[in-house]
Amino acid sequence: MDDIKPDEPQLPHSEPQPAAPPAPAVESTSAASRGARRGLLGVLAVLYACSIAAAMVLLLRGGGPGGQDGKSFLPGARRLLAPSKEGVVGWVPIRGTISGSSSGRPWEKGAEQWAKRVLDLGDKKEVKAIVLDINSPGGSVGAVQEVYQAILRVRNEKKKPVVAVVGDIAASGGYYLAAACDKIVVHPGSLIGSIGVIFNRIEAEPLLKKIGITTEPIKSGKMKDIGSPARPMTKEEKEVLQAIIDDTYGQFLTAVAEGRKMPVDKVRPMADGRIFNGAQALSLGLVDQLGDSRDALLLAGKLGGIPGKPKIMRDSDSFSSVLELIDSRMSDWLRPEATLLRRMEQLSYGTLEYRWTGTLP
Amino acid sequence: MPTPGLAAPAPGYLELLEEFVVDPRSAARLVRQYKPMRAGFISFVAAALSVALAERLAGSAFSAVPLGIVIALACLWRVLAGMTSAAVFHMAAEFGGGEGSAEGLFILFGMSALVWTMLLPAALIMRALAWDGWLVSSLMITSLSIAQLVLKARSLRDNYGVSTAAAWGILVLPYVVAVFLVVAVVMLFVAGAAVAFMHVVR
Repeated sequence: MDDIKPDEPQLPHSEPQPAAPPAPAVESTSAASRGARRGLLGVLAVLYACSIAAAMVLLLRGGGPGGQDGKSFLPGARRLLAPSKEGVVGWVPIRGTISGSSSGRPWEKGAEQWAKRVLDLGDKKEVKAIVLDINSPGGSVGAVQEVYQAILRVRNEKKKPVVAVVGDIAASGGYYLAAACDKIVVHPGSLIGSIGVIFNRIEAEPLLKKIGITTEPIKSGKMKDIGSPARPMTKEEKEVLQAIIDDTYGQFLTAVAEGRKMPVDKVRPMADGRIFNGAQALSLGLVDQLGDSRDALLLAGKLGGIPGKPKIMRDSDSFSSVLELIDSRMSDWLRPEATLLRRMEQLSYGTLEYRWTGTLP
Repeated sequence: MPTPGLAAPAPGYLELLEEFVVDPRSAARLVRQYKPMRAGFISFVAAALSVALAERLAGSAFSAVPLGIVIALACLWRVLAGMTSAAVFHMAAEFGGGEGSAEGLFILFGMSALVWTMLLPAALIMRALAWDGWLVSSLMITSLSIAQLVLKARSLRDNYGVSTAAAWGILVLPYVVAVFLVVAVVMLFVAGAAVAFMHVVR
């Protein structure tokens, strides 16, 4: 045994440390799988970006289906890249009396709004034809002609067919609009016709006398208050109004003759204001076929070149239809007399109408 | 191994997404620590883009509006809705005894919304195969909605440290309150209308 010198420090005697073990295989596997997962997520992100690009191409192309020039060698790709399939049929319901809306708001029911819907649908590339779903006894001349012009614009400028389908009734102004369409489809029992013009006027002089009211208008011309309910009409006034009615009636005859491709003289005997049912109207050539809404849809699709049963596009903007629903409900709840008052107001100053008065005023 | 004394770098988007899918609790920890708000915004925008384009391809009602505006509004709407829902559920969670951050919840809700990115590719595939039935679309949308709800519940659980059942309770609570309020308002309205009607009739 060696002697330990007292000055020398005594170092602890330690075992040599074993070498550090290699990193376990589990950690490298975990890193590899993590890398694989991230790689997969990266691939998914790239695929998502590709789908965004494909969708943008589809939507920005617009127009007809891709590959129409026949140069595409991938039929599947051509179908994938087709922005819209076979087109749709626009559908515009015309319900009730046709008149101007009271405020002109976009969601109100009125001639301006109907005309706009027809034109907006006609402007859409994917709309290949339009169905006018008519259930109306007619209305004021100006309002009817507003919608009439819109139909003619779509037919003549946009070259899109318009088919009318009639529910219960398309009388007078309602038939005026139907006659503007390429084809008219009616039920056998639908009421058609009442081709004519009316100027509704109330003469309230006896009633006013009874309750002791007199009126004394101060006017610039003798006919300024023509049609006033407060006094009987003069012969001269009747002649003036009759002339207006005759001319407006002539416009109606011309519209029907042009729409139905008949001579005016053939239309005139049917145009004394009488109404017909659908079957009678068919035999007279006033309509094209008996059928229902589905028949009208298929006919419109056929005329528009859409195979099979076409899809329907209703209003161009469903946001307006939501507001229309709210507005009409609020009107019913808050002003139940509004419709009656409006009608009485119209009767008080007289209105020139393409309207069948066999219905309630 | 990270260098001692230096904080680990913030996770990238894909890394965070991977954690969200594989280890959601770890994702919640990362979110709590780093609060990568950009990840939340990106996720909501990606989801909004997918939904807006899919709806447009299907012929949405607002097809007359220019595409750019539709996309911009959809993205804005979804981000704002995400912020609002994060705020509402944060209040509900805190009310339920949870502890967490609204920013973290916004980010995790954004990640949950990423399920909707599957809608656009699915819409394209359906278009290519000419599958335009409402049943397929409805099933797809329902499945994605349920998936998002599940992920939202998980996000609430991980962000606030509550149980799964509590997380579902927090998720459902605002809707229950909203339904209750609507019913109360309707009943008040009906009662008021009835009183007014009786008054008029008399």
